[in-house]
Order: sequence, then structure tokens, then C-alpha cells
Amino acid sequence: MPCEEIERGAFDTPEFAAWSAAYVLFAHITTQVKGDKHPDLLRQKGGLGPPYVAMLDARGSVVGKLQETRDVAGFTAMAAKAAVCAAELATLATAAAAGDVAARRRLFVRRLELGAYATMDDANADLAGFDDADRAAIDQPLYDFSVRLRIDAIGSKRDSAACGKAFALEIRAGRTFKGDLQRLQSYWVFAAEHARSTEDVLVAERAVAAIDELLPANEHARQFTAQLRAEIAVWKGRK
Amino acid sequence: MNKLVGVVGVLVVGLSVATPSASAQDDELSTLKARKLASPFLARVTWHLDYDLALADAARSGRLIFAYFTRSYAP
Repeated sequence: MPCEEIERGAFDTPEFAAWSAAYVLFAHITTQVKGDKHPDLLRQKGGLGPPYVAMLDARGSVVGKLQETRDVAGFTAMAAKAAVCAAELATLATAAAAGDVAARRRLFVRRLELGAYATMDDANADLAGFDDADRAAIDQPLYDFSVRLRIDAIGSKRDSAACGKAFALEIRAGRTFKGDLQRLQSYWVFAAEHARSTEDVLVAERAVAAIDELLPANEHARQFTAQLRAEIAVWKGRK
Repeated sequence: MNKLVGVVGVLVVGLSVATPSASAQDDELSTLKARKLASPFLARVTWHLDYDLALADAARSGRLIFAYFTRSYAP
């Protein structure tokens, strides 16, 4: 029981009580109780499952993740790296506030990458004052963020079908997701399933190529793309 | 790790619908939440349990947030 181990272990020591005074302590409990605030915060902050320990700045950017031991020595190592990342963001924020356009763009993208925004509205709030050149410069990261939000919100087969349809249309329009590996797999599978239902050769071939590249050694992926290739050949034969 | 299977798993979970025992399940989840909130570690030092308040405290104090993510409905 890893959560109990850290709670009854590291968190229950005088050493932690002394060490933690330098930080704001925040415990997020995923409860599945309806109405709880921020029910998806673990995933939004880059956690795959509990227990997950991270350092956040005051904007909610994940400036450090625990990759060391679950004890004060590990927390100290994480905090040292977090301080470096937080300092980078603070430097960018200072430069952005002074009118440095490149810093403003870089700061926004870093915050996107670091999970500072929970919704597109949150992100858009920081886009106030961005001109067309700014928006063009951050277009891909912002699109990736929108795809991430849509994938994370999927809760039913209908949702995944709707996402697949939207992704296929966007691929046809020349837009493709370039985000993290886990969501990339979902993205291409959903797009492929839509392409399969509409016999969309272009999107299906793009999906096959992408999945083969992402998961070259995965047997299930190999079977999936082999089946899709066979279907594409049939569709082409009919045209 | 088989991510494709993972994707399918997400779909299957998403297809679950409310059952006649949903209310009992809600009660059980609330009980488990209350039990988690009574965990001794939360009493040894001061933890924020509200994300927005933690952010506000960090902004006010200039400190970074040490964030611990756990759950109440499973070990």
C-alpha cells in the first residue's frame, strides 16, 4: 500500500515536519465523490496514479516531480530541481512583464507544458494582449493543449467517437497533435477508428504510419495496423 | 505497457452507467473520504486540502507547494 507507506513513513517523522516548514503543503485526495473540486487534478499535474508527489509554483505549474526516494532526502533532491525550474519561470515572467515578446511566448508555452492551466479558458486568460504574431508562435502548443483536454475529458465510447471525428477533420485540415506519447497513442487510435467508419484512406494511412512509429514493438499495435492496412487496401480497391 | 489496451480500458470504464446501487456507492465513497481525511498524517503538520487556497498561500508567502496526491477509495 504505497500511500500508507509514505503517510505512515516519511510524513510521520519529525524530520519531515521540520523540512516541510519551508513549503506550502497541499494534499489532494481523489475521492470519486460527486461535487468535489478539481477531481482530475492528479492527471492534470502529470500524475499517472497515487501516490504522486510534485512541486508546484503559485500558478500551478509543475516545477518538480518526485523521482527519488519517498523520504526527506528524496523530497530535498526534488525541491532543489524545482527551485531551478521555478527560477526559470520567474525570470521569464520578469522579462515578459518588461515587454520581452519572446519571453512572454516562452513563458506561456512553459506553463502549458507544466500543467498550469486546467481549461482552455484558463489558458485564454493569459493570452490577453497577445497579438497575431504571438498567437502564430504558440499555435502548435495551444492546439496540443486543446487535444490533451479533449482526450482527458473522454468518458464514454460516444466521447471517443466524437474526438476521433474531430481529430480526423483536423488532420485533413493539416493539423496534427504533437504532444506526449500516451495521448498520442489515444489520438491516433481514435482518429483511425473514425477513418475506419468512414473509409477515410488519407487519415487511416496517416494513423497506421504514426502508430507503427510510436509502438514498433507492440504486438497489439502491430495487429491493429495490419488489420487497418488490409481494410485500406479493400477501400482503395472499391474506388 | 500495452497502451492500446489501456485506451480500450478507458472506453470500457466510460461505458459504465449508473446502477440501482449508485446511491449506496456514493455513501460508501463519502465514508471512505471521511476516513481518509481523518488520517493521522494530515494532523501532524498543516496541509491545505483546497487547491485554490494552496495556490493563494504560495502566492502570498512566496513558497513553492509540496503537493501530495492520494486517493480515498482504494489503498
